[in-house]
Amino acid sequence: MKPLLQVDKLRAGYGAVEVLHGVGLRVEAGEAVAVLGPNGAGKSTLLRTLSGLARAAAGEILLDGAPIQALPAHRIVGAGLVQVPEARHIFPYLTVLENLRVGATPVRDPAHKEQTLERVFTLFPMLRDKAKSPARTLSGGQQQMLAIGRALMGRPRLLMLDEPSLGLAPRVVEEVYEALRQLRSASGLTILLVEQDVYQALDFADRAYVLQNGEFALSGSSAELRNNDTIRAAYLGM
Amino acid sequence: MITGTLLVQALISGLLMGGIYALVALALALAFGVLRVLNFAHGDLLMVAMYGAVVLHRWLGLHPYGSILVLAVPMLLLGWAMFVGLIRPVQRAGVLVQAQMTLGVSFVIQSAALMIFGADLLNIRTDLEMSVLRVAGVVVSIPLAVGFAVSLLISGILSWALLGTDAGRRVRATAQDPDMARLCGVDVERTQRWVFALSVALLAGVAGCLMTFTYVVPTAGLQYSVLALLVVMLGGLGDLKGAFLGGLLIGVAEALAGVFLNSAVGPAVIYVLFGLTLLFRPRGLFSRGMEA
Repeated sequence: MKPLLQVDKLRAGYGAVEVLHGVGLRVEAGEAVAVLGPNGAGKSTLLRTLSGLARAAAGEILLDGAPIQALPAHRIVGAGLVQVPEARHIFPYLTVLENLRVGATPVRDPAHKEQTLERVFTLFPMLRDKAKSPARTLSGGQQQMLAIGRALMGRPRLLMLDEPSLGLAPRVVEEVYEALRQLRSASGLTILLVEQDVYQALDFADRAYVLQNGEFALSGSSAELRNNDTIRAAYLGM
Repeated sequence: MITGTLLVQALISGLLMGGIYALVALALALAFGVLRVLNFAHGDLLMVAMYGAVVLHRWLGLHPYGSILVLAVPMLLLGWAMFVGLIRPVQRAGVLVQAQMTLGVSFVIQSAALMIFGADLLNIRTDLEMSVLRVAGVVVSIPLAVGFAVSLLISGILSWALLGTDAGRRVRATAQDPDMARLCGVDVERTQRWVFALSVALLAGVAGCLMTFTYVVPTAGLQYSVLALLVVMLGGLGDLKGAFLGGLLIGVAEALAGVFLNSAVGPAVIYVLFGLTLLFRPRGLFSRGMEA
């Protein structure tokens, strides 16, 4: 069977500066996969390139076997690859509900939109209570949930999250991951996660890749990586 | 001697004129908010529609109000073509390149108007022109009042569309964070194309109203461009409510200056107001800046 997402020998960067030097990864349907690595390793560039915001200089990105690296960003979202970017990027002057509605842009059928909205409200009841509030008035944790909810409104086949724990209190990080777990168990959603919080990431994901200087240095199941000496020394401080 | 009636008279005329300015500025602010390109040819495009109204009147005897509907479609297409041919290619270039491009368009339109219509002042004679409404000693020009009403109506429809429809939400999302809009599946380039075309089409409405009581010369475009830019900066770049209120304010300030000083000083007062705003409230009178 074809993996849901397959990336081969991907090279990308900004202008003349190459950040990713030929990375390959695969995500099977239903899996949760994490990409770990220090600041500047190219994690965000990887997600930006997968989303079409940055162009691949070489290599291939296949979603369900179909190449998507030449598609404009909005078409990639339409194909089912939806990203929650780093720092959340909610639309500050739209209300919570308006943010969610914009997230539903790729969905044509109004009945599907309402159905998805109901699911998002069930997952994050707080969003229903704050539906009419301007998004900028939400706390950091609430904004993260809004960003995830907005991405879900696009009915993703694969949800990509860039540093969902960034800048959040530990208790709130727990809440975010609890919601993601619920999402997986309820709908079997496939997730590609970029995270600096290695504990959380390995706890959540089935497998992980470690990105260093634009290349994958290591990969394996979360259990293997948790016991890997390099990982323990470099990231887990043991 | 300045009487109370004279003051009320100036306030009302200023407010009515300001409503029309507000629509010109609103269109400019909308395009800037969504494209992040300041269109220095905005007033010249308005002038194109004003000449269009003159031509339609000469050829077909069409009333300026009727020309609004006839001109809206060609203006939309003109805006569409300008975006695709001229704006889009410089969108990723620096601000100076963009300014050069739209200023260039302004010069081309101005010269073309001079070549085609000459330097003479052109106007349209209608029955409305001199008609007035007298209320308690205050004289209200009917064409001005209709222009205000039409501008208000168009602005109202526009804000309803922006606030109450899916397309409007996508436009506002694009103005606030274009990359994030892309990640939500919004075709940002298409949105920008439509918004720019719409911002030019709206000018047909303004042109129809203006031509019932004023004239057009090839330099009129520059005058309206400067005015619209001042209003938009006054309200805060990209801030639509600010642009609308700024338009009203400029209209009133201009009229009051005409009463207290003299009509030649009116424009100077606008610049002083503008300078003070930039000095003390650089993000616009209402300090909301880029929120759109």
